[in-house]
Amino acid sequence: MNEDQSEKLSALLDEELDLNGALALWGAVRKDPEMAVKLHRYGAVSQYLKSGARLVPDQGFSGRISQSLDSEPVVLAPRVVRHQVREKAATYALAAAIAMLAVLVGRSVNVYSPMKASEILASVDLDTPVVKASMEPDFRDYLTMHNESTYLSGAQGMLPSVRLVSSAAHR
Amino acid sequence: MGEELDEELVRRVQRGDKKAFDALVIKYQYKIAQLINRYIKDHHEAMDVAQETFIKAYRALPGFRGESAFYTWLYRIAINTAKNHLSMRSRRPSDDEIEIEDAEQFETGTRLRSYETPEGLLLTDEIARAIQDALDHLPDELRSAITLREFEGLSYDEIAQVMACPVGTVRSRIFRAREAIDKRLEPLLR
Repeated sequence: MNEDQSEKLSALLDEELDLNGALALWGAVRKDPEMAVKLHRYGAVSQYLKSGARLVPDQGFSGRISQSLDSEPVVLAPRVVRHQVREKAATYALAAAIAMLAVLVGRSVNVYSPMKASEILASVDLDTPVVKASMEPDFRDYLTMHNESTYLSGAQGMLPSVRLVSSAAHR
Repeated sequence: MGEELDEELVRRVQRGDKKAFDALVIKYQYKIAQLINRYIKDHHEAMDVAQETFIKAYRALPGFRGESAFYTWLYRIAINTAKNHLSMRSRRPSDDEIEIEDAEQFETGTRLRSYETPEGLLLTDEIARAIQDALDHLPDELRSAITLREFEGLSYDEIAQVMACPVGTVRSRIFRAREAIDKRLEPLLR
């Protein structure tokens, strides 16, 4: 173990290494018994100086715990993570539902269907005064131009009421 | 950085990396031993309870949501374990009250169950004197750095401001102070 590693151990003990540096050094301590012994002595002295504590765990303390844990099941899937997954799933489901609703509403507003209009016309009584008036050539020209301009402006969903209002205003 | 490191180590344990728990044990074993020793004076018993604390913590880690710092959570487990230990001890006979003819009956129970007893390292007066002596003989700048760190609990940044030097110098001075003390202790701790 070189001096640089010892200095890093000292900084690790004081929590003065950055996260990646600390994790890398913990990995090295795990593999190098000499580093583990050095860290243990640094820790014992540090604890004594901080608090006057005379009782410190011996060098084999963590090893014995590690051995005891060998027979324990592996800790997996913390509840907090499962909770987060459920929350995320609910958020995604809500977002998907909103997106689907937006698509359906958009389609119902934006899709212009001349077939539907002709079906509506077929069901209308052609003898009423309003319908007769709408058959006049001038008014039909006006309606054609009106239809084109409203279609281009994206307001075709409003056509039926626009027709009636326009008709009344025109006459 | 301490809490950030703990969070990462906890996450790794929760993902199934048992070895990451070793780092948490090494990091907190001194504080936990000292805390438990305040409740339980016998150092063999205290170390036993310290070991039990860490094992309980490992088993409870799936339920740790990070709502408090890991050490705060561990601290609560240690206190509860120590109190439970004292409570159970008060309900069973002390060593002196166990008669030889009763020993057979206890062998199957918890009191005399055979298991590897964790040993604590009790710093002797000689070791304590050696640490103090090494500290007293440090050059001023090293003694100041280690004193501000260990006795006053200042961070490297704060020590750098107090000593009017770069953080890197603080880190180096604290390390050299520890090395000097360690050199004095090494033969005593073998």
